[in-house]
Amino acid sequence: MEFHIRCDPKEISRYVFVPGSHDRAKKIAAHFDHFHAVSESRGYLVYSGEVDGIHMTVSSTGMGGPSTAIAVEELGHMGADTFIRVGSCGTFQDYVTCGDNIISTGTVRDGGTANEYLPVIFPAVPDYWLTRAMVDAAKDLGLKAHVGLGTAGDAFYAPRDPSRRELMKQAGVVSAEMESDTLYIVAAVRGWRAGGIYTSDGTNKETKPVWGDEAFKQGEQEAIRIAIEAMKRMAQADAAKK
Amino acid sequence: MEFHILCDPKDIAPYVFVPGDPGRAKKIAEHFDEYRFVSDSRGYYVYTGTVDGIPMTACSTGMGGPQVAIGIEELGHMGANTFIRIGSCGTLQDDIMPGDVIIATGVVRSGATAHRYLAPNFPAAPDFSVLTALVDAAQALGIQAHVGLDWAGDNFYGEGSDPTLWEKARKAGVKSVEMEADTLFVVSNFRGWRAGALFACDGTSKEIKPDWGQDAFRQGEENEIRIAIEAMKNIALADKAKA
Repeated sequence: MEFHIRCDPKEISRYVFVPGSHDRAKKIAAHFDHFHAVSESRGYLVYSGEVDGIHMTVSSTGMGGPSTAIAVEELGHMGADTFIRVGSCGTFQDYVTCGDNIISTGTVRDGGTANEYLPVIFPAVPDYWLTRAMVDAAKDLGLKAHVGLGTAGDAFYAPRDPSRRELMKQAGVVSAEMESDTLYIVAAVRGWRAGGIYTSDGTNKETKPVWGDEAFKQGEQEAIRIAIEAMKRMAQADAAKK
Repeated sequence: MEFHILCDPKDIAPYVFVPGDPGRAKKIAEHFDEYRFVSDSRGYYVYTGTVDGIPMTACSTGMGGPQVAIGIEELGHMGANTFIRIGSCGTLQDDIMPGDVIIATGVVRSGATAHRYLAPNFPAAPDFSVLTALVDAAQALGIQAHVGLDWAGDNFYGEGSDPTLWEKARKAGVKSVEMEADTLFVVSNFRGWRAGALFACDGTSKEIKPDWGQDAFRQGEENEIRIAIEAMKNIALADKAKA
């Protein structure tokens, strides 16, 4: 058995959603045709179930690189090879508001965990086909999503440098969160596929404003629908290749 | 007038192909419906013409980050905003052969020029719409292309400061090795331009530019030019539809 995610490997699907939040893990599972709780250990809440007959798993990762890396490594040991992070984020751009979704095309590596795998010059980018599946799924579901770069770092409350925020804005960086740098690099090293979609819970001026909470919850539901549709298509394409 | 690309800004299209090789710049232009030679200064060979009525430019950048950065900055000053690098590359993977085409989804930033723009932890990634246009164009033309990670560095003949990194990159799935896409992608992000890149492989994981692979490479070069022009055409048409 793995050291931290304590469950029967047979419970883990190839296709895994990895939100940071425990609550969101359950929200994702609630979109499956049916699901059951698999395990809860060290803060990793795991649910498995089916969508159109396809076995899928959700595991929360907690916040930040260290617990994300441990989660995806152990899920991978148990057979997972396709990961979609369904997360929340802040933003650097004025055109993004609470509830907007961002499909990630690459991540500024502000976190430290992935540096233990590959040096920072290695690009933290998602799998093209998984990203494409999310972009296409959003379009087909009629749900709006931004497509672009983000940052991921280890410190939520550390002092923020205004000039750096300005630089990221100029460079077109859309989102700010804490896990995708690790997810993409660990997936590259292990030969897995990974992608990310994040719902903004703030604006370029405000962090998690209360007035934006309803819009965020709505956006989170949309992100879950996009991610599940994309995962379904990946599984169907995998099955067609066999 | 710009400092290095000495031409009338009116001769530069928003849609620009940026090969390293001046010879390839001309080959690209020869695929346009019509083209004219614009200028030749400091090694930047510039040709402009049209494809289905859409103005397009091809400009060689020379090899390596410094010349690429100067090239696209000056092209950008003159109105360029969409760049496709049509390059050659080596490979780290055993399943890639001379003539194979690789479309880049991200680049290991082994070159230093782009570090002057954005720190090395910033991902060198193509614009997703340009990347998707390239993937779709290859498919529409029935040309098989690999889609994946690339390595770009400043050094062709050296052993590298950390040879173990090559092995790590190979294991992490890095397909191609060349010298310009890191700079192209990072400077483009910094300036708010769109960029993509594809390469024709001229070697194998064991051999650098073997003679026996030359004919296959030339075919691959022809293929990547066709893919890039088809993609650029579709990008321009999508821009027009939005306007």
